[in-house]
Amino acid sequence: MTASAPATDVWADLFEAARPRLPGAGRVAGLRRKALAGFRATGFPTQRQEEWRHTSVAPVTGTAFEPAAPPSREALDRAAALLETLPPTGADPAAGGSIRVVFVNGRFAPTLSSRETVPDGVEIASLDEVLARPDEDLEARIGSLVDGTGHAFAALNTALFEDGLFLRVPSGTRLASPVHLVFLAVGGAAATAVHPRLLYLLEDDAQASVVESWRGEAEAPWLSNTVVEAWIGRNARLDLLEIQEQTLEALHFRALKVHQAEDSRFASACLSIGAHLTRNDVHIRLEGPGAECRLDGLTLAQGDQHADHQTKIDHAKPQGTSHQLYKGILDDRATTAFSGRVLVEPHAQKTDAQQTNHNLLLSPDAVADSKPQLEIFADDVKCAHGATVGQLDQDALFYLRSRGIGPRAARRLLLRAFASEIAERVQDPELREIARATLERHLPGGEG
Amino acid sequence: MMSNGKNQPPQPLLEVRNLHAGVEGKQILKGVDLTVMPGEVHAIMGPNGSGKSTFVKVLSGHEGFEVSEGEVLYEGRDLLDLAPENRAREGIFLAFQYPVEIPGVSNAYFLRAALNAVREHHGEEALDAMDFLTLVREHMKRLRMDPGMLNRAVNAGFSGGEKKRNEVLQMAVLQPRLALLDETDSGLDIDALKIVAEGVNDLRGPDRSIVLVTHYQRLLDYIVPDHVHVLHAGRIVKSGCADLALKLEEQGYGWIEDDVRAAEAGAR
Ligand SMILES: Nc1ncnc2c1ncn2[C@@H]1O[C@H](COP(=O)(O)OP(=O)(O)OP(=O)(O)O)[C@@H](O)[C@H]1O
Ligand SMILES: [Mg+2]
Repeated sequence: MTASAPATDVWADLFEAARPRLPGAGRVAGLRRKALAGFRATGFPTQRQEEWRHTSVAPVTGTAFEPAAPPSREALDRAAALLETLPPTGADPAAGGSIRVVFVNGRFAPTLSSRETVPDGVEIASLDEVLARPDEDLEARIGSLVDGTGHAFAALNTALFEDGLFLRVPSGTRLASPVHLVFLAVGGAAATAVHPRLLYLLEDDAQASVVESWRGEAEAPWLSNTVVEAWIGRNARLDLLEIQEQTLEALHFRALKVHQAEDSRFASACLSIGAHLTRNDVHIRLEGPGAECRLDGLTLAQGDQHADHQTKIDHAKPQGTSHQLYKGILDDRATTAFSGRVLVEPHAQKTDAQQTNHNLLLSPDAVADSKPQLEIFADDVKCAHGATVGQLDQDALFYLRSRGIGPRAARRLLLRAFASEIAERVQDPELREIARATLERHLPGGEG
Repeated sequence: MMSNGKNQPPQPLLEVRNLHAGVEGKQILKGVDLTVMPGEVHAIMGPNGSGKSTFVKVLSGHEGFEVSEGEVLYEGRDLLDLAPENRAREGIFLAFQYPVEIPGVSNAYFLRAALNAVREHHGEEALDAMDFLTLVREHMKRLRMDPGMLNRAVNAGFSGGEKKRNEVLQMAVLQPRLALLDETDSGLDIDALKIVAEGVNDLRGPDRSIVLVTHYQRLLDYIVPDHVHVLHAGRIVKSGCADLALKLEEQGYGWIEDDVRAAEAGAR
């Protein structure tokens, strides 16, 4: 704690300076103060803590970050140009029906967003917008799943978030097409921190698909520290695709907590491709019987990239299902860690929990660490986990070459095959197409 | 281009001389000699572990085996220097004894990539998806294969017989000049055996040659070989015509082993 004390002070000063402009009064303001106090008491995690064993936060503590300023005209123009030049996210504003919400340097950019087709009753708004007017429901919800206790980065987000998204799909409503969220980093010379906060609220029988796309051109250290809170009501369904293609200057932290009611479904696919450092914390609580969740992840890492995925699933009620498949392709000196904790509470009979982690190492210096943790307190359950770490299958390589396919093309074909399983598991057809196209960009085709 | 022009003697398609090969510290092939003329069908038989699969894998360029002695000429040129993909593009095809499963790569994608790699090597245009499908469906019909197999991952979850049939499909699509079939008949039911034999006979022609590795006379009832060889402990110890296979079927390999021992004793 002593070692990180100066870094904590820096963040406390940033908080004091930002306070007058941070949105939300009353309960939200109290939440912020409490989160900051908690953060000051515990400080940044060290690698002596089990959950942070594989990830050093030195790139964060060793950098003086400035809060992102509201984007200037130039920054918005730059962002508009980036939206044109970066490969499409699947959100084509020209195509009818598409809902796109763009954030530039963590702040909602209305001129770049299109919300015309949002159906009546559905709310898709920036947090800054909604916190400006009284909304008791929102105020009660924000921070009710993640208040920062026990997690330094979630605490910093809770104290410092300036904007974000509130998505509310009312009971029985189904969104016909995905909501595209684009988070653009438009860099300046200074190290910058953003703390987006996202809330997804699906009431009973509601249904939505969301694509989160993280990208940009940051050339100075860029701390992207996100918290997502999601509530999925009875028989409701949320499909989420996260595409993280930040620049190598980025430090990408994201903590997601989901509460699932009876018979609800949550499916999340996470493609971790960019960023120097990625840390994903996913915590799902299956609170109602028959709830189902599916977490898939693919990490493509090279150079000195590091990605750390920590998942936690609480099976609190019977007949819940959780299936997780995390895969990684690591080259050069890249490293990943996967830690999956599954807790089956005593009443959660007939739980079906599966967890799989496969890693391909393309270089002798790449390292993949995998740690399953099953804590089972019910007796009638089906729980399985498996992990492999290996190289490309030499027999398959020879088989392909023996048919005339050159060694480079054969390798690409096998890498794509390994990765594409994650895209193919995405059930929402539009999300699946976007996932496929993303992989196609990073692992191009096998011919030639 | 035809080598059997009036004044020249015909050129062998494949000439293997004194081939020695093995894996780290273990000699498997200990001096194989074999000459295959264009249009010929050769059957290679021999006890388990005698080196038959090693032999055909070395011919197709498997890098797991090291050639320590001898030479291999294909169309009169040194074969051993060629990378496996170039051997394939030059017309060598190995139907694997144990075809490899490749999850995540569809059979259609794989076959088209293979065919186009071969075509491009010969300066031909790549086939587009439609033309390719027309071609491959035709072959599948002849091999009585379910067209649904095209969309499945290469060999993944295929039954033993389906895998073998898939090898023959690849051979039919790629139209090799030298087909090496390693126990393609093993694991086939009687109808499938006939269909596969038809597929192989379809390929036969004055310009193409086939080397069949098999344990059973059964296949040779349908594909009558010009020559039969016995590979024993890494060498071809006996060669004959189609009758040799019949004799092996009746008597096994014991008498050949006796012959080999007698010959070795005589040489001493
Ligand atoms: N990679 C390897 N490492 C060690 N030994 C090997 C390897 N590959 C082959 N061998 C050995 O070489 C010998 C010949 O094997 P091969 O597969 O060529 O036999 P085969 O004649 O095809 O047998 P079968 O009729 O059973 O298919 C066997 O003893 C086998 O165990
Ligand atoms: Mg064999």
